[in-house]
Amino acid sequence: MTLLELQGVEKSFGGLSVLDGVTFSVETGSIQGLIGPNGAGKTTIFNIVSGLLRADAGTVVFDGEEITEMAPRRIARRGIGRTFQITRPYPGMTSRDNLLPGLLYAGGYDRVRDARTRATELLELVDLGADATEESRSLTMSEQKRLEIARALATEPELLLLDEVFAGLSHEDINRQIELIERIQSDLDITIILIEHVMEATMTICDQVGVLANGGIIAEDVPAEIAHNEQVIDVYLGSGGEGVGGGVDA
Amino acid sequence: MLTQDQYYLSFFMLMVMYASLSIGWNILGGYAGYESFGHVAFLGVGGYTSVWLFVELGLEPFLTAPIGALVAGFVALIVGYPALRLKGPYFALVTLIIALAVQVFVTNLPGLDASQGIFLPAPLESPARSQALLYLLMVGVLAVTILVARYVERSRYGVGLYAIREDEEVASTQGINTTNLKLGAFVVSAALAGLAGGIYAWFLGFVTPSPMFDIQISILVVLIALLGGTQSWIGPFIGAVLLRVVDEILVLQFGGQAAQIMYGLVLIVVILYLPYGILPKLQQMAQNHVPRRVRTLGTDGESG
Ligand SMILES: Nc1ncnc2c1ncn2[C@@H]1O[C@H](COP(=O)(O)OP(=O)(O)OP(=O)(O)O)[C@@H](O)[C@H]1O
Ligand SMILES: [Mg+2]
Repeated sequence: MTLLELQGVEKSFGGLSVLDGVTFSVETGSIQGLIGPNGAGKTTIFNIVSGLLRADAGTVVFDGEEITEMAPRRIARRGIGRTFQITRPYPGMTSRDNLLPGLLYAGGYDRVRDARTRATELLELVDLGADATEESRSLTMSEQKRLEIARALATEPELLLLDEVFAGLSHEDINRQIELIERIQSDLDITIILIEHVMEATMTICDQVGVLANGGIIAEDVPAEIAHNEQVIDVYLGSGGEGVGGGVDA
Repeated sequence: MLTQDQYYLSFFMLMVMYASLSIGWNILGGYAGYESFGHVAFLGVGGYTSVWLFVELGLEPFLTAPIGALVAGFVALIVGYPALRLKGPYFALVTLIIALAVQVFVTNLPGLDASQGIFLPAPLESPARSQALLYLLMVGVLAVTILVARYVERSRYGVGLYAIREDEEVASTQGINTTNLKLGAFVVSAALAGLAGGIYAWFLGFVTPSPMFDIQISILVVLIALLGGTQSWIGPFIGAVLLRVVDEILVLQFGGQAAQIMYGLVLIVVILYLPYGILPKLQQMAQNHVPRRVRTLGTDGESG
């Protein structure tokens, strides 16, 4: 079954056309990778799906309902949660309090006390149980990324959009993060779209990977095939980007 | 000449009024982070609603103040919708302008003849007892304001406002209707100011635009909250007490002009060295002696 479907999505900023007819779909229960060179428009796709940006053309359908023009808060309540590439925890709040808004406004909790109990559970799920009363701005990068995942989970999503949650992490942290995402996926039974430059991670956990370049999806396949796709290798080498190399065989 | 009693009464009246104005202001300005510099508009609207209701219908303060609150809330609803699309200094500036515009509008309403000043008789036979009664009513306004602020702090609603303050765009991706929440906070805080204004007009007795729409009140209300700390109602409460005491001492010691300057200096020093206000500093000092639980949102006496 298809959970999310983008059809001919276009977006430009001023004169710069970033997305020029993006079409792809995500199956319920899968982990879908989204890769592409810097500036390809991956984050822009997340912004459109989560409602922060309006597409110039095309449609976004989630769970059988068109959400192209829907306000972000409705999309969140409808079941799409997201993280931000440059982490944006609520800085002055403790880790646990960071989860309260999502729980109370999209996660189906009405009482602060019940939400706080659930927040504690979610923090434990992402291994932040010990940092519940830390101010979120004092967390390390790796911890902030996990806090953002927990905060997105607080809205009880069916679809989770993760924007580079591996970037800047140490090798050790990457392995922990991979474990974490697999655990979330199986424990909570949700669908995930993962934007990633860290190939090691993408190749390990994605069921399917789409490649965004020059305004459109130029290839979509299982990870092993994508790694050897001529067109994809061209795009990465041609752009002087990070390259598909390194973790390809991992 | 003021008698000793009248002097103390005025002093405490202003202290209580500033405390409730600032605690009410803080519901939007502190919890949601939208710092209005036009709060006096709602004090004035409440005050002149009292005046109008008395002049036209002969109503007494018990009735006019709550109606003043409703009218002030309604005005906030109308001006808040466009104003709350702006942020930071733009919002501050627009609210400042709105307050001036509201003053011009209200004081030029036909039948009010406000520029001349309007006389409100003492609600009781004895003027002294009237002033005491109005003071008690203002204490009641403060109590109501504190209850409302405490409720907001502990509720789902407060959590939404805090999220808006921290990152409004992120809040919108978490199911929060930021437009409605902000507007609600603006209306509530305006209504509380309107309530205070309704009583204050009777306390003044002779109502003119200059005290009722005094721009200094707008500024003081913000300073009091910043001075005390904006995290909870206790901050502005402490701020109001401190500011009134310091102000009064300076005036008594050095007279008006010099006091104003020193007062300004004191504020600058405090804001520079205590950017989060006095309350967090006090808590921090207390924590160094007695271990305390970290304050969390919506604290309802139990942790999860
Ligand atoms: N709100 C915006 N206003 C103007 N330009 C934007 C905006 N958002 C993105 N862009 C531009 O659109 C292009 C795509 O940006 P986007 O962030 O979607 O890329 P990305 O694929 O996520 O890149 P990266 O891998 O570096 O994160 C970039 O050139 C960026 O500068
Ligand atoms: Mg990006």
